[in-house]
Amino acid sequence: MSDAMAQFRDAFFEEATELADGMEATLLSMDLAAVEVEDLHTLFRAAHSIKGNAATFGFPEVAAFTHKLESTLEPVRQGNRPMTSELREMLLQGVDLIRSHLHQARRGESLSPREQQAQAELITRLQADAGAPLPAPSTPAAPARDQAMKGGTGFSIRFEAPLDAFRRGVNLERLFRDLAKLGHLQTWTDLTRIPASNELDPEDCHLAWDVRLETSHPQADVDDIFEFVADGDNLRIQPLPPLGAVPNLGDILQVEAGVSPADIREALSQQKRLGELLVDMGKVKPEVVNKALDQQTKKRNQAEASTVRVATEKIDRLVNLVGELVITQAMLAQASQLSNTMQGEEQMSAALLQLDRQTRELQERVMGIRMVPVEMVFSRFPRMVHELGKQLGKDVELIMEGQATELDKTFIEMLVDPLTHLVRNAVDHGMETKEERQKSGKPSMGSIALRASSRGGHIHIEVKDDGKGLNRDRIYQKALDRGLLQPGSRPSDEELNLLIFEPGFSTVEQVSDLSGRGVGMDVVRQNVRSLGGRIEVESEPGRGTLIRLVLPLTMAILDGLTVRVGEEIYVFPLASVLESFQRQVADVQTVKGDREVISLRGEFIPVVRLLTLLGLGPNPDASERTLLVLVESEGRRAAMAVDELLGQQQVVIKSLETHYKRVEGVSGATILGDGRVALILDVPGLMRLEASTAAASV
Amino acid sequence: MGHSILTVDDSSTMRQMISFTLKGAGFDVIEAGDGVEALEVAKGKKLSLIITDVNMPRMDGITLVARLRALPEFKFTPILVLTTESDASMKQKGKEAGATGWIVKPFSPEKLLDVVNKVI
Repeated sequence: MSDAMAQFRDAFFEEATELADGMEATLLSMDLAAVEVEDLHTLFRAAHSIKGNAATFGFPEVAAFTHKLESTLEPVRQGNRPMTSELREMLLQGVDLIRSHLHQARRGESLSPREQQAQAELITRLQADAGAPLPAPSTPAAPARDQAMKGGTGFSIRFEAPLDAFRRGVNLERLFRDLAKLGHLQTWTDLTRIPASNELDPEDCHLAWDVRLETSHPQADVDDIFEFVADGDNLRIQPLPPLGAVPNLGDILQVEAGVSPADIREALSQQKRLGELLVDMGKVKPEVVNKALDQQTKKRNQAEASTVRVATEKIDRLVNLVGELVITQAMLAQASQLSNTMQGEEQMSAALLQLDRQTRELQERVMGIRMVPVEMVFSRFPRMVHELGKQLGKDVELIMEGQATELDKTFIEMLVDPLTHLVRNAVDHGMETKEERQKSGKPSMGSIALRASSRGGHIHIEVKDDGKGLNRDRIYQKALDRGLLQPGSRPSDEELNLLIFEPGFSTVEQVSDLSGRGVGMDVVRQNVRSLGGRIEVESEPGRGTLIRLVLPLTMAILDGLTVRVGEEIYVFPLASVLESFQRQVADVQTVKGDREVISLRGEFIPVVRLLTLLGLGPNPDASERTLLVLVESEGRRAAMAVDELLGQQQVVIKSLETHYKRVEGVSGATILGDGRVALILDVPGLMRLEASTAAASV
Repeated sequence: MGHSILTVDDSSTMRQMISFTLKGAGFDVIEAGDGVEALEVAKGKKLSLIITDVNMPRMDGITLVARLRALPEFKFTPILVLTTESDASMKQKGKEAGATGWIVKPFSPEKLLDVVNKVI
């Protein structure tokens, strides 16, 4: 396949995926009691487009399957077949299969045997459900039609004559003469199906042909010729590869050397895959090959996931900006030659001003490329909630808001699993059964709300259910059992709520196969933390639970508070800073020998000695520091002792891990304007570190 | 050498339309009003094609096809049945009885000639 064609293929996959997503959304939003005709047309058109495009870009299997969906939808949109909930389920499965098809086709493969079976079963069910037998398709393999209409190169045809062809007075010779009228014809007669003479009924027709027809006629014309002899599976018509495509070796040999397609098929069937050959040679064990194949699949998936679609206007704007930068550079060059003159200095400062503006805009816009709407994660949930509700026998309504909110692409990918888990949890555990809801006077239909919003430098993503709320007594008991709380301790509601994110923490007695194994919630927290975000939980017994993921806008840039501690400069993420104050005005008390706490509005907050904590300074190092920065993470607070507040600024995060190694309490490093390196502090990490050293010193 | 075609239909209008079209295209045409008459008329004739309606009194088209196929002289003769789109299963029944193909009613003279040219 040429590069140009491969590009179109990518576009095809994206478009087809979008169309499939659209079909799913339409199906899910459909009110079965009052189906909008326009929705049915939309579904039909989507199936039709996927089919036509698949054929054009050389994916006959995708086309053939989508054709089935299209023909199912045809009578529905004509009002001749009702849209039932069964049909909807089947069509949803069909959408899944289209996705599987696309997924496999993208990697140059066909459906797995399991998927193929699912497909066959679905097709049977679609037809059985239609009640009356579907009108026999007048075109046994219509998918290529669109391609041919657009002027494809022709068809490769396999035709096995029906056994009763002679007895029905079929004129086979006539058939080939008609085919030859359409274009350039090459035929190979396959005599291998003729049985031995003692078993042969001379009135039976055992002939078969492989035909290569170069023509600009549409497939309908070819179908028409075979009208009386096509019997379902005895005729296969496939479009020839499009012009410009690199043909298979077999195709070339067929045309140039007249090798019959039957022989090529036979030869191919004898070919073995590398893994099988190596196993046969005794070089590796089959398990090893399977493992390697898994690994390959993973790598392949990763490679697929690493592209991002960018609106052309965004790119155009960048190109313009770079153009402006070049002009600014020329201005600077000129100004430097005129240095020491009045005019030169003026020009220099004008150019620098311009450079400043352009650099800032460039930065913003390059960051903008990575921003994609949360819709990309949200779009999977209507389906998931629908399926879950069905499985659990709960009526659940999903409300989504703020799908257009943009998030860093990396975030989107890393949010998929946590959000999936939270939504699943909300439906499975948060939501009561219909009976329970009725008993407590709630509407039997439960609701889950997914909201995304942008709040001053942060993105909030909320999963809210109107279920029974968290059971704090049970969480408390469980935390005691697991040693997460000391007996007699009195944690705040918020601290208690957050315990559900501890590893292995699940309060559900009966483990369902959907959720409730205690794995998951801690992973949610891990992922959110690794994105530099935090989790908040609000829950009211009987009213429901709200879980809020608070995420930074992007991972690459951070709003920070730069501080000096001794000789070192550190950056606190502004998001975790609550306030800062003079040490003198705070009520500092010493406890347990050398540890300090401050009493702030009735709450005791530990004072953290940064250098000691990071293993950099003498002990004690805090008492002489004059300022305290109050930080918060996951409901816990601490006062960090510092010498000087240098200011707020945006810093570019550089990973410490890739350049050095992971350091507890530090999330990265940045380069300051004067060239110095400053460490960016990981507040939750510092809190953990502080908690563990405090526990160790007890 | 001209081809002879037998058209079987209980509707004389239909027979005339078919007959007129085929004669215009240079074929010889014989007519019959139902299956029983068709078997009598066909006897001893050398026919290139038989076109029969399905729903007819005395003997329907499907039976006629089966009976014709049982006769040595019509064993391999092309036979077309006239079906309607509303009865798609008739195509299959016709095939099983031994029909070569079908023409879906309503059809135009051009369509008729197209299909005839396909099987002769």
